[in-house]
Amino acid sequence: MQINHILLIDDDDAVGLIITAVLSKTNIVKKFKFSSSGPDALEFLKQSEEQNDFPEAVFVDLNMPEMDGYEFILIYESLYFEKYPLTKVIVVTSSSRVKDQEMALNFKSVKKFINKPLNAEKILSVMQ
Amino acid sequence: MNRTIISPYLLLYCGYCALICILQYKNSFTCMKFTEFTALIAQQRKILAAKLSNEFLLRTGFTISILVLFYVSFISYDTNKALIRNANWVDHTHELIRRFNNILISVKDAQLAQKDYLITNDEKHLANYYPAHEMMNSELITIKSLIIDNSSQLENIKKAEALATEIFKKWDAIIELKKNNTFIYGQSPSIADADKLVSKILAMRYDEMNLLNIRAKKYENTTSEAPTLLIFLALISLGFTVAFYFIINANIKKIRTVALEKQEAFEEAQLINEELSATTKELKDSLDKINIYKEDLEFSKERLLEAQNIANMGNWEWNIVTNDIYWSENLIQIFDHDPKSNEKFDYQTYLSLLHPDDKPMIENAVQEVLNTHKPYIVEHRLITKSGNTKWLLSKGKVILSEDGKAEKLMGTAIDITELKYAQTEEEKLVAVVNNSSDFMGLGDKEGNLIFINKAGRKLSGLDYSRKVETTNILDYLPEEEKNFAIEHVMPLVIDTGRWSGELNFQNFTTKELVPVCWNAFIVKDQANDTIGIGHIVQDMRTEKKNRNELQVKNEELFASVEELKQAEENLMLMNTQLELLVEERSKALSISEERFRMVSLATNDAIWDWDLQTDKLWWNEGFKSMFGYKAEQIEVGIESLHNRIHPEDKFKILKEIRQHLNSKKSQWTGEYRFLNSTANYIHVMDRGYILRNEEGKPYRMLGSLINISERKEIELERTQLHEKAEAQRVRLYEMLMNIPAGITIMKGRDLEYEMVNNYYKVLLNITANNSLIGKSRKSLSMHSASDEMLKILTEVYNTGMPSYSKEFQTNIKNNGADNYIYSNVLVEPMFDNEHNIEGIMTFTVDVTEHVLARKQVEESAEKMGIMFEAIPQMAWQAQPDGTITYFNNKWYEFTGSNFTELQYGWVNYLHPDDREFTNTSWNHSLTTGDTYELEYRWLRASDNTYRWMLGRAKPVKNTNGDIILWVGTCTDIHDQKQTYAELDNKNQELIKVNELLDTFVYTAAHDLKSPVINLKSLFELINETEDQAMRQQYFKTIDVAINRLDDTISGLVEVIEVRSEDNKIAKIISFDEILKSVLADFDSNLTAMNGTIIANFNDCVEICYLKSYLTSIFTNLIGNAIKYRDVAKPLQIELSAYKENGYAVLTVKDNGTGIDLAKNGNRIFKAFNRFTRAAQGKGLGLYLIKTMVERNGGKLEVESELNVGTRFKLYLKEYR
Repeated sequence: MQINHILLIDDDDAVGLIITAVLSKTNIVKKFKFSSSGPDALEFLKQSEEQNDFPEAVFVDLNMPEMDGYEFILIYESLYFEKYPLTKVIVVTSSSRVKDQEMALNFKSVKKFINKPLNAEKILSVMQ
Repeated sequence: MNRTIISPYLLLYCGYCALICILQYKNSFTCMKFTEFTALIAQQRKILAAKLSNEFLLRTGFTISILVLFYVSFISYDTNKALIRNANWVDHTHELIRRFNNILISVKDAQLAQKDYLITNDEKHLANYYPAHEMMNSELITIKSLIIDNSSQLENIKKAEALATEIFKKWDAIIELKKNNTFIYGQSPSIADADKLVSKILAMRYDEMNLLNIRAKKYENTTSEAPTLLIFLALISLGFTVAFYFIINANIKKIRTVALEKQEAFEEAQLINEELSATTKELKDSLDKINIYKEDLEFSKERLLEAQNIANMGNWEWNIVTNDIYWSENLIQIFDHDPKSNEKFDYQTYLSLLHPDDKPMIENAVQEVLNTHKPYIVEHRLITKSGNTKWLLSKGKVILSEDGKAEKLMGTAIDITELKYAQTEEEKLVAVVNNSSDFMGLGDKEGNLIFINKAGRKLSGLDYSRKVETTNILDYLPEEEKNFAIEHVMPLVIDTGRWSGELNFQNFTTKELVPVCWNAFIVKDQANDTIGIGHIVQDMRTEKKNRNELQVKNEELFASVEELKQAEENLMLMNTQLELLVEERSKALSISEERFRMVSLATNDAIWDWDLQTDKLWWNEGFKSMFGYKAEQIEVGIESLHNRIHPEDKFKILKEIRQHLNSKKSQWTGEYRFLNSTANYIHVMDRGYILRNEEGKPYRMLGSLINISERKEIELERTQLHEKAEAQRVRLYEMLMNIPAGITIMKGRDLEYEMVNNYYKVLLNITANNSLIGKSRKSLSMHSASDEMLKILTEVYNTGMPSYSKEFQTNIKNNGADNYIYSNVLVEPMFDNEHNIEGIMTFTVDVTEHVLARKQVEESAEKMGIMFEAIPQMAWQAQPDGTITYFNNKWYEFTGSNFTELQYGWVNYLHPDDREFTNTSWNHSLTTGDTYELEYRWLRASDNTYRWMLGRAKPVKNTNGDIILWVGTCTDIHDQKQTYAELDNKNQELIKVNELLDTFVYTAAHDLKSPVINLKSLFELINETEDQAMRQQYFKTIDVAINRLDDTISGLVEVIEVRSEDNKIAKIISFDEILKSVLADFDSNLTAMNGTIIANFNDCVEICYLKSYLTSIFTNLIGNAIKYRDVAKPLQIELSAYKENGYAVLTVKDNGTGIDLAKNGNRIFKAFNRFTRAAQGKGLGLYLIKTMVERNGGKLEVESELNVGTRFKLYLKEYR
């Protein structure tokens, strides 16, 4: 199956690089955007909306300076959840704490919770 | 104008009429003029306004709407119809036109076809010609039918038809010619013919179209008016609607408010209802409960009264304050007063019933009780209304009010009349026994005596020195009687229960024989077992003396009779000799006979003379007078005597007489009952003298009867009295023996036991068989070496003064073991008739249990007292009413006060805030008996501080469950409390620290994990690709990740090092020095960005601190300033230091981007927290600084403003 458009938010550039490389090989995603901060991602989403090209999935890391994952999800939900109910928000993190998992899944837009590292199989399984 | 204009007005008019009808206008308005009608309408409008109810409005509105609807539909119908008509006409016209066109076409076609044929001579063109002809014809027919209503057009079409026929005729002819090939050019029909037709048709067509236009115009006129009408109508209805709407709205609002109010009121009523029903239910429940309680109370009251009734006691209550007195029903009954009667039983009645002699005693007792509050116990008499004297035992106690004054006196009263009676009976019995003049003794079944009374000793001559126990009843008898007693008396007694008879006892001392009447009887105990034999012995000596006298008299009489006999015999002898002297002698005889007769007359005794040979019996006069018989009544024979003997005595007496007659005896005495003339039996004593002849055969018996009724009566009385005394004696004896008190009687100087009851033996652990009777008290080395009791006994005997020893201790050795008993001993002297001491009587009551119990209590009280003084706590005791009775010494030490002050003023030594709740709790405990436990503060005198104490009090109860005493302690918990508070704080701190640690670890883990994960992915990618450019990129990224890992790890190491740094290496460091060394690292950076450092440490040049720490502080702060600088401005960092309050305050100020403290203020100093991505820091710098500064008591503050700058203030505590 092919996914049209996904957005990945992580403060670590290396992650962006890796995922970009992984996805380019497998070609399961047509369009992939990497953003390294919450505000940046929100800006991108705004543009996507204007261009009518809203991503199908948003992968967001929890542990980020300036605006952490939860803050981002809150703002995302208030702005976009109702308009794009089909878009999945997936929390990606290296934390294995149960508390984080519970907290994340409490958000109505968060569909899943994945541990790092993110790879093609995981992305596929989530989108199905 | 057409009807469509008029109709609305018409309709309106009708509508108005209908309106008026709805108003129920009763007057008929037919045949009324219009003006009149309008005036009526105006009048009605007023009425209308008043009647503007909602229903009315609705009805009118509805009606109006219906009417409007009708009218609108009417109009539209009309318009519709017109439209349809018009359309029809249009169609019609179009149809016609079409037909006309068709005709034209067909004509043209025919023409052409014909021409063509003519020219080409091709018959195929005729194929067009004929159809066209046909068509034209048909069209003509059709048209004709269509325009059948238009006469002018009809004429035209007929004309056209004719023309057409003509033309076609011509054409047909030509064609025929051609067919026959006889056509000649120039013979073709003129076009003008066809044209004529065409123009005719065209003209018709034109006419039709004109007609259509005219019609259309007509329609327009009609329809153009419709809209205006409709608008007009719409406006009217709108107007009505609006007006109605507002009016209805207003009405509805009114109704709604009313309805709302109603609803509210209803709901309120419902609520109130519910509340009421709930309250009612509660009330009912309470009532039920109250009823149940009442029943229980009634039941308990009944039970109490029952119990009191059974115990023959009642209770009373005297309220001293109000002077009300209450006696229970039972008590009133004891007073022989009917509690249910109308006569009141009050205090006056009560007083009147008291025995006057006892009144003062009672008053005194009451007074004393009121004064001393001791319990009230009084035994007194009362004289009931019916004259009975009763004894009452009143017991009571004083109930104190809160201030210790006597408030009530309440108690019980028991009717002890019987008991007292029994006591007096006892006393009487004792007196009877002691004072009886008869010998009273008690012995066992073998006759061994164990008790003898005074009279007994006297009669038997038993010396006091001799113990009665050493005698047997047989000893009291003379030898000759002993056998009789052994064989006859004792067995009879055992078998039949008693024996009574006269025989002789022998006096021990004088050895004289004492004639006695001996009554022996069995004594049984309550179980009806024979426990011994009782003896009552009556001295018959006087009796005997009387009898002897009588006997002597009798003998004298016999002697005189003998003399008489002698004289008679002499006379008989002399008769034969001197018959001559018979007359003389008979004279003498008659004289002596006379004498005899006189004697017999004179004597009151009845004399009889029984001639044994003739069985005739002669009675003297005395017989008659003694028994009241007349001469006639007496028989001649012996039956006059024998028949009158009482049947019960007859056999015995006759037997005796016969025995005597048959024997050699000459005298006989017998007692029997003789029937007198009034059919009563008289006791008589009969003395008979038997005359025998030479052979010894009796031939005559003479006797005399003496009336011994009186004597018999006396005897009987005495017997009865003896029996009564005996019974009483027995009762007394049993009681004495079984009283739960030891009774002994000791007689004589040697204090020999004369009587010992069972209890005494039991008390002193003497076996029942061991008879003490007769043994001397002195000779027994009883109980202890120093026999105190013996001294007392002797004293009493010597002085004649009774003695009462309370709780006399005796050691009853039990198999050699000591066994102390306590008893109350009353020793009374016993006096004989001359009021000399003859012995003593002791009463011993065992009070060991009481004494032991009391001793125990005293002991434990003592122990408690010691314990109280010994314990480290402050202890106190109080009475059940709350009055403190004791403080241990710790109290006085602590408060510096004394008992008097503390007893009632202890509250004053409490902390003011604690006084109220302490009092409340103490009072609560007093009333309910609950233990109390409080924490409160007491003022310590030594340093005038309040110390926290834990106060506890517990009640002490007796076996009935009543509280007799409160015991309490106060334990100093002041230090404890402090400790707990501190512990609590420390706990809170620890929790916080733990939380911090958790976050620290979590974040550290994350920062370590992420690069590692990335490394793994990157390696995979590198393996999977051959692209060198990509690989290079991957390698670079790997490098970055590894560096991050490295940084994190070294950061952690730093953290650990900082935490475990040792104090020892603190030394004096100068700020400038450190700054210089740190700046060396940053030099390149600073110059690159045009940064400046300004340092001023003049106010605090140096500090005693850890060098590594200070270095780290500077590095981190300056590094941060550089990292988070504002690129728009040249970086400027200012450092300074000064001393304040014992701290060395170091300030580092920059003009960088600043920190959003509002957002991130709480996170700055947390480990691994970064805010901006601008600089890839570890996020540890500030955390480390905080740790270092706070480690030895310092603190740090930060101020910042976005886009202005940040200032850190570190309060460093020097290491000393």
